[in-house]
Amino acid sequence: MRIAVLVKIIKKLNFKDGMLKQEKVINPYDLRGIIVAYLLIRKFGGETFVISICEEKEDIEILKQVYEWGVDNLIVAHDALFKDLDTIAKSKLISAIIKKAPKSLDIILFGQYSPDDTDGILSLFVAEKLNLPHLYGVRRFWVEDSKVVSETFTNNEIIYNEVRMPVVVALEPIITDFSKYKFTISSKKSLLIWDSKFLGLKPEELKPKVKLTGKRIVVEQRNAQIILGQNYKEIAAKLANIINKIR
Amino acid sequence: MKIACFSSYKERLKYLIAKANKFNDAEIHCVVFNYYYNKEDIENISKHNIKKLVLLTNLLFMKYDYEAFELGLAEYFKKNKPDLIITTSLKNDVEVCARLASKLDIPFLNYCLDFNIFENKLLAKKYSYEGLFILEYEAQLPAIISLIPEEKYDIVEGKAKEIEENMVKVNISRVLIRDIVKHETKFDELKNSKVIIAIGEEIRDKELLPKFEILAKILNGKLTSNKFALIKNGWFKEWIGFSCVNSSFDLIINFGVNEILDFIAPLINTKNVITITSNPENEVNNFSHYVVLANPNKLLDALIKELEAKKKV
Repeated sequence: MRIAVLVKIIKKLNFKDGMLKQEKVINPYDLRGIIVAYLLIRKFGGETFVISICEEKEDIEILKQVYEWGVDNLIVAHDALFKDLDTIAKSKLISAIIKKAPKSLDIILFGQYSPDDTDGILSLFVAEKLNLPHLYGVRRFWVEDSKVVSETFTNNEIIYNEVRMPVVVALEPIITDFSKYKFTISSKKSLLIWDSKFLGLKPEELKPKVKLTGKRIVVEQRNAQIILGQNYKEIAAKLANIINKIR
Repeated sequence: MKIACFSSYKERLKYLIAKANKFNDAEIHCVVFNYYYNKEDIENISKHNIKKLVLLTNLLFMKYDYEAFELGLAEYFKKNKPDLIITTSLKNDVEVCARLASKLDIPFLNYCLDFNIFENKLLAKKYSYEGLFILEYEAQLPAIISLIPEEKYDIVEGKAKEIEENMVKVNISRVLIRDIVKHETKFDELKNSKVIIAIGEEIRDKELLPKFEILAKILNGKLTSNKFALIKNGWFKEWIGFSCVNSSFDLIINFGVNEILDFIAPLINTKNVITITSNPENEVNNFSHYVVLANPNKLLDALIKELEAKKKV
């Protein structure tokens, strides 16, 4: 079995010293796909491919971390043309990568969302471009023979779907606790860096149809009133007064 | 300009029609599948102010047949050439519309707060970083936009001037339903509450839960946790996060919530945020009106006692 996991580098926001700081990390929601793929490959045999679009070359170093989680192959798309792509362009690029992958893939895993983008539709765009079925908003899934069976939740139902591979799967955003797993580092480790020429993509194909025109912070930092006291009884009394005043 | 409203959710479709009616010169179409709408529903929809009601029908439609729905919508698009399709950010609608946008190679902006059309361009607003920023986008038309539905809106009554029924071709669906299990508990309960007690990473003892329930009862609120804590301990079915972005709570009390990822959005419109934490560096403090620097596990008993005593007085 061959499983691809799409991974995105994001800028995580932190408040430090009253300032909003950015730190580049792998989208925490994408990490779940890496573990799921690792466990499936251990059970059924095969290979994992992590696929990522890197706007900056140094992002590749961040991505190399995936080898520690048992990933066999890392495919990175890096080119000046791959900056600030919209969803349509990204889906064309990812589809081109999947078509060029050294081996045909059975499961293509996406983390449905990333903290910097609530769109959550890239997997659906890619599935359409590759003419593959998709499973969306998947809480968990498993493999039975040549089929993938998924579990999704709606407001009042749990739905179990089945589909023959190959399939695109978008996983619900669930944070993974890596400390629960022990990984064996792959002996096959490979790194492939592909550009637009290699993928046969022309600039006009990647031209954005959606443009970001503005960005503003919604909530400024609130200067919180600090509540202190000599003991828990005193603090609780002060807090109860505030709560009653509010209500 | 032609605007098509599409949703598989009856109530939400009315909201989309109301949104489309804000554009006075727009020709509004409403596209529905007979799978989701019975005769009475269709009659209700036809009483809104729309130019054309398009019924896409096939007796072989199945529940999870997004490919058939996509195909039906693509045929409608080909025939009617709308400038904009508006839909909801709910799962079934997004699955169909995102694939359609990809097929047609047109933009799809998901999870938008609002939109406008100016000089043949779609202008849309949406959240990023789970509610920390609002981003403004400009997209070429034709395009598809999905909106986070608002609970209150004005229904524009009228009459559908034209009703068209189109039989849609259906292939065998590649994704099949194996089973459907009904939930005992419904989700979406948090949005209807005014007070939320959110317990987070600093609360590790499950035995404290009944006490938190008592606190929630005193305050007439709902008890839940942030996403991180929920995933780690699995104590609740619903967490408080981005899906509550349009809710306006009177009070959220955070007991030891430390992770801001998928937690800022509900804090934005909340009138009062109280955070009880033993961590002075807790980032949630930055979005709080009051911060209690104390062990939330230890403060709980004392707070319940104080609130109960004040209630008696």
